[in-house]
Amino acid sequence: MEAIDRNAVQQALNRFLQKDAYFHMETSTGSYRALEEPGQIATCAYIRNGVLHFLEGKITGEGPYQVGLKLKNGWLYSQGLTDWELTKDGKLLLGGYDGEGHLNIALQFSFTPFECGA
Amino acid sequence: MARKILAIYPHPDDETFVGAGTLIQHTQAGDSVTLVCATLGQMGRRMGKPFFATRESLPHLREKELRDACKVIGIADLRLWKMQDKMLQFKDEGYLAQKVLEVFDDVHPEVVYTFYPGHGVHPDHDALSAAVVRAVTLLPETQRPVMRCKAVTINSRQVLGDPAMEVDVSNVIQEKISALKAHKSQTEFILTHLEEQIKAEPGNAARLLAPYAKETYWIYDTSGKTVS
Repeated sequence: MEAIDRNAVQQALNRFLQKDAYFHMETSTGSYRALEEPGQIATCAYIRNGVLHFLEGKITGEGPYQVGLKLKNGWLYSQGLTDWELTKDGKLLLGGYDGEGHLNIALQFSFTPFECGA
Repeated sequence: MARKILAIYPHPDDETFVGAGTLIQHTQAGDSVTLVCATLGQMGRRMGKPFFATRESLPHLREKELRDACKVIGIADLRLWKMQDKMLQFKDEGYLAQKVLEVFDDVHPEVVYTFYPGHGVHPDHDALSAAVVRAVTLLPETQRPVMRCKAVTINSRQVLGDPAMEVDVSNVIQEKISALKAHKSQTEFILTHLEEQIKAEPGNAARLLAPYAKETYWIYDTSGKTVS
């Protein structure tokens, strides 16, 4: 991963434009949020190997960055992205890391399924 | 006499955070320890500090870290189920219990270490400990292993009383720290801070290490229980 270069990420996003692609999206407070601070609750959402087809896609901001995708029937939004990687096998990984090294948000695309546990 | 011990946890590093010292004491005494790790912690949020893992590299890194920790602890029998992180609670309960029973049939443990049922905080902890209870209660009472369980809920002492066991692991504290270090992606931020503190106040080393020198377990009693 390296710090997001907006132009490079935009080009990488365009590879998936108007095509069916597997995607991974997540955000999490960490599983121990409630232990860390009374009154708080752990929240988390992830979808892995969903299939997405976006008609338009754009990365915006000056860092951290936002990605918005126009879908046939709606939108996808993500905020807080800091780092990116285009893997050797063509997967686009976008992640939002904080100063503690926590991955707070991720948005990823691939034409082949992401590895997944049983 | 060498005993057969089973530790069964959902994530790489649970075995070390809960009780690396206890497990090291077992292996040093000549007991055979089997560790089941149900997932690869694929969805962990800690990526190292400074971060060096991605969502895609994390399971591979964590598997390697776990194997390294097992070497430190002396665990020769590591069984990876490679299930998906956070999803144990959604798997068929009978299937999970059957997986545990297969390990029981193979290992015949006298003692099983896992999280205390309902007191694991993380849903994977509670799902797996529930499966262990179900598997244990499927055995005839005379063949049931003792369940030594770690409770991590804030109110665990109010609800469960004081832990039945407080294991002093100060004699293997350096080995335990090495096991923690093996789980670099998950522990570096803690250990770096700890080592800086010890360096700054060497006279306080014992006090700073005290939380790591004691491991606590409650016994989950399955006597009289049957599978409903």
